[in-house]
Amino acid sequence: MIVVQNVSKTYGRRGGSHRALADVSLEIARGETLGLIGPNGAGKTTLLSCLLGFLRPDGGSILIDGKAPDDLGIRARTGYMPERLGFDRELSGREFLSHHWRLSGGDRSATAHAVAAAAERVGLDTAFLGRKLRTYSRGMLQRIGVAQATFGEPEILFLDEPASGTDPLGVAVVRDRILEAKARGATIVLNSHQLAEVERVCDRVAFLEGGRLARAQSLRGDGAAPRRALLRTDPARGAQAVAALAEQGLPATADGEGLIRLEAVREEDVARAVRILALRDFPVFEARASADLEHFFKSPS
Amino acid sequence: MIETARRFLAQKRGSLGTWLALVALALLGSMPLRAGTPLGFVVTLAVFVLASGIVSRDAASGALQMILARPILRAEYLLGRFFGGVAAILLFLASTLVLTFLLDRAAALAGWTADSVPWGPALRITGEEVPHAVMNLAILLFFSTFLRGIGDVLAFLLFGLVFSALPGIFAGLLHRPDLASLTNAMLQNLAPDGAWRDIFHGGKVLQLATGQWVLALAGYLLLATLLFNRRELSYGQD
Repeated sequence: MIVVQNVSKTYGRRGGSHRALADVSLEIARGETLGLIGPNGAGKTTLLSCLLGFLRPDGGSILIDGKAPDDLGIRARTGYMPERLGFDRELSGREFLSHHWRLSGGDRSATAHAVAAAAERVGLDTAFLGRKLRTYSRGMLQRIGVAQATFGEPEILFLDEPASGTDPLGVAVVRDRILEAKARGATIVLNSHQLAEVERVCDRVAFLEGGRLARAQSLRGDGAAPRRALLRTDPARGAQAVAALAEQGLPATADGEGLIRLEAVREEDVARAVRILALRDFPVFEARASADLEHFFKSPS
Repeated sequence: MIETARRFLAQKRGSLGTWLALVALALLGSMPLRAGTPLGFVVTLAVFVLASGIVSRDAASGALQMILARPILRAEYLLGRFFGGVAAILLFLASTLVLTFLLDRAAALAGWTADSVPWGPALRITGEEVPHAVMNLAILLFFSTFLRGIGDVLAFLLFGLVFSALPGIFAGLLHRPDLASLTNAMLQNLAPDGAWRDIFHGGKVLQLATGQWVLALAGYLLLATLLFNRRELSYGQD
């Protein structure tokens, strides 16, 4: 379990200081996937840096399984992917991965096998491994960054914008690796602006604003954030579908394209709406539901 | 530590700019070696080429954060960089010697010169350069733990310039021989020459100058480690 208690951090320089974190308290359960969201300058990367032991909080404490974040035992169980991808430009992909495999305590004799397997896991052609990292595209750097972060199946993963700037295939690769880590019980902290991805993989989000934890919201199970659902039916029968839903206590709106919107509903209400429409013979061509994380940015508290 | 040293060498091996600069410096260095005179600034420049931003570049690129997220001590990383640097300097000096030999053979085959390189003095001179280069590397490493970019090289030059000039200024311009000898003593302790010339000519290894050199080297490495352990690694945007 990760326990963040009253953590504050101020970047101070002569002539001015900036409070990046103010009294942030948070608990992340073992096996939980937490999304850190918030506007630029909210303190997300600072919090992640404190969780990794790169920055020392001015006040408060951070404990990971009862130990300091920079404890070597904790680090041996941690994987990390930074946001910035300017690393080790002079090394080849193979040299970079081999180095991190060995640093992570991996068996030296298994280096070649581990590197090839890691490249394969992130869909990186092994032919590219001989090339210098400076020749890699952003998407390839993202993939190799994810490959090193997931070496040795870490129990704790800190990911800082792991899929920013990548193509849809790259986003899917990152998502699959996160879901894979999640399935084996890893605790994951994901800092990302890609709200759709956060929603897909995270159990809970922590919304930071101005260095404060403005809101923490579960995305799954009891107490999950209200959802916004979108159902698509026959455009000619949109109004009838809305009436059918209203009859069952589900207020909705429809447009001329057959798109029916349900605002602030629970997960089970979305399933109920689909069932109501299907039972009344309305064709449901598409059903989408999202936690409306954008709403956090508009009214954080 | 070995892993970090290996990475340092791999980084240098993978940089075309470093290769070009070192080949040029090795060519330059072959001239004094042929003449049996010290390599002087050539080795200092080689240390700059190999070790400028030895820590700060890793910190700026985010590579340092990725490495330190692994189960290794900061001191291991720092000493790995240092020993990687020492290995690179040794390779450079050995390559300069080999290049001198090859140029000598080529010149002899072409009939351009009948004189052969004085190999005994050349080897001795190369050996004498090693401790100087190692000391310069330790000073750069120290500065690189808290200065950004090539701030380590600039600080090194400023440091050298100030401490070399001060004794002369105090003695010549200000007529303060006491302060001149004080700053001279400071320079000898902060960047000791050692008695390597004497030692490489058969002198005793265990002497005061060697002790000063060892103490200064250990001091820089210890200070660098202490500063680096306290350093916060911040990057990116919130």
